[in-house]
Amino acid sequence: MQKQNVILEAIHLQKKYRKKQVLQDVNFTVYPGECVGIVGNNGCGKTTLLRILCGSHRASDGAMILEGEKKHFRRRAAQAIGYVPQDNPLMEDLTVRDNLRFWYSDTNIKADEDIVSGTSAFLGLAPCYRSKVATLSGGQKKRLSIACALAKRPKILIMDEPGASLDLLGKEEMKEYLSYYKRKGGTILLISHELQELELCDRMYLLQDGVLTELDKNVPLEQLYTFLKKDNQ
Amino acid sequence: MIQKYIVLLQLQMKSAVQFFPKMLTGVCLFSIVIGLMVTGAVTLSEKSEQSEKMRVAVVIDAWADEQETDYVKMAFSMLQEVPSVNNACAFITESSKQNAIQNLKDGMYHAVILIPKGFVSGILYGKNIPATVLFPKGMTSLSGFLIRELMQAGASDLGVAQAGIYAVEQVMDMHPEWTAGQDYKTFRMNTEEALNKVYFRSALERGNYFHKQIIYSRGNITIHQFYLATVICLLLLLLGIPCVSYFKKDKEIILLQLHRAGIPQGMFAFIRTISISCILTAFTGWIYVFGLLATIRYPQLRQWLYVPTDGNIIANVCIGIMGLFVVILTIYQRISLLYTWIKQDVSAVLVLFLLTVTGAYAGGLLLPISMLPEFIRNISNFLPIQWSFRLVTQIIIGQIQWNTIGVNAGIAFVCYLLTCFIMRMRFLRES
Repeated sequence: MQKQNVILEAIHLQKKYRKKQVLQDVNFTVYPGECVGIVGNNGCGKTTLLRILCGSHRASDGAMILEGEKKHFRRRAAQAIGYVPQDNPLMEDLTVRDNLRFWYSDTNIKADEDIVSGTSAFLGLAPCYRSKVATLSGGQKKRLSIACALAKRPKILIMDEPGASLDLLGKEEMKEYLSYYKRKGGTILLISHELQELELCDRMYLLQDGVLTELDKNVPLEQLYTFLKKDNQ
Repeated sequence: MIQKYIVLLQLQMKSAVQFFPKMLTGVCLFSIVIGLMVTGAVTLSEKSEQSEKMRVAVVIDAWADEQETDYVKMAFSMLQEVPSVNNACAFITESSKQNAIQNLKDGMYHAVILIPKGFVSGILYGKNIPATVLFPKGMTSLSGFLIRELMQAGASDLGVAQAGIYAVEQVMDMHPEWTAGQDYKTFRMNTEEALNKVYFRSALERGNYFHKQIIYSRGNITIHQFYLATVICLLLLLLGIPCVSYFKKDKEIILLQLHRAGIPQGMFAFIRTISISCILTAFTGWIYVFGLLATIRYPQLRQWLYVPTDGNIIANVCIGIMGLFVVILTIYQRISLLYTWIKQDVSAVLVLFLLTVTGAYAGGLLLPISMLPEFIRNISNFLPIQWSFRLVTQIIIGQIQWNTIGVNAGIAFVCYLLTCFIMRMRFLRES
């Protein structure tokens, strides 16, 4: 982990939806090669935060710094950050190949090779390459979403509850894929409610009432419940 | 970036092709319903067109002898064969005066001609025994005026002809020496016969005051073409109902991801509309070409579909297919706008259906515009459906006008801009 080079940084981020303050003075950093987790109760603004971080939504105030640069964040984020939303952003009536063809279309990488024998082969999509997305299992769809997000070879992969709506086996598989990606040097920022996935995280943040707080590394994961319960009360 | 757009277009085309069987099922279902409606409408229209002729009852006096009755029937039958009369009147021989008058009162007849006893012999021997023409009381319709004019014109012709013949006969009686030694009776008879022919020929030819030329309230098209255009427009519009799952199949999250990838939501919606329009154009284009080929083999089909034989046929066909694409794109861009605007599927479908039905009425698809109330006629020209209908009509009669294509393309463009605007506003509100 190269702590000296911050890859993604949020400074005093604020987000308001009309009169509702969703995020308040959010500050955090992500370093290359690390896995950062964000936890929080439902509706606390985690997804909003991720969408701002990946450049699809605008912050009401504050700044985002990507690879030391503040300018044109959203445009550069589209290239440098891969975003895997909670709902799979897939064209269900088309095949796996078709979906990948689209996301690989403005890269120099050939989707066919990449999925079968390239860097995305670890996602194991080769057997269902010609299948319709609608016929895939939840786990396969999630892997396909990741493959689409990785098409541009982003420097950071942002994931919104990757294990949600997956069965136990799917969750286990997802954890394996993520740990493989991390071992290969990938940077991950994820929201999750799954302890299995959070085990991968090098650092953790807790989002409460729109305020982001970094958790102590030494706090056991099981104690997260205590924090979340407090939040609920 | 262009590469991304091209791939997206290809994929949406593929998606539209996969969706096509559902649309085809929709086409079959709606075709049956609309087909039944239109068949009924065409039958009614044809009946009303046949009844456009003025029905005139001819009542021959009950005391007239058989020979005179035959003469009258022959006279009216001859009159019926004159094109100008045939175009305007249908003579129906009635045996009972009471019946004829009752039917006149009931509106079955536009007029009744009562032929008195001795009418024909009166004409032959110069006696003035007038026929009586009855019109319903207070009749101010155009038909009434027309028949009055026809009768007056006919009577005047007949009178002038007879006056001429009698004049010559009287002059001949005063100068028997003109026979130059011929048998006077034979000479007089031959001359009278010759004069009769000349006068009547001239009188009847000049009697062609009325040449029927149909100016259709639907424009320069037949009933069949009018309702074919209606069927096509209604089918295209109602196909928007099964298309709801095509237009609304993707989740918001895809639009979000596409936006991140540099493809605005409005553009994605447009690509989708283009795709479905291309597929439908390919389908309808084949039917169009097949129809044109069929008109070559079966010329009677030209009452449905006409292609000008002058000029370059291939160019005409190409323009026709281009027109089809424009009209389909315009209709589906409107549907796309509606589906973007109304989020809930059921509500969107209901609104589409209501708009289609009211639009079809106000746009002159079900009834010609000239038959609609004035306030609807005033707004009709501003309805997009009216312009789509106009373009479809022009494709059918093979006379596509560029300004109609332009207006349709303009409507599609405005709908595209509105779709983009709604999507953008929604995105800004949510982000």
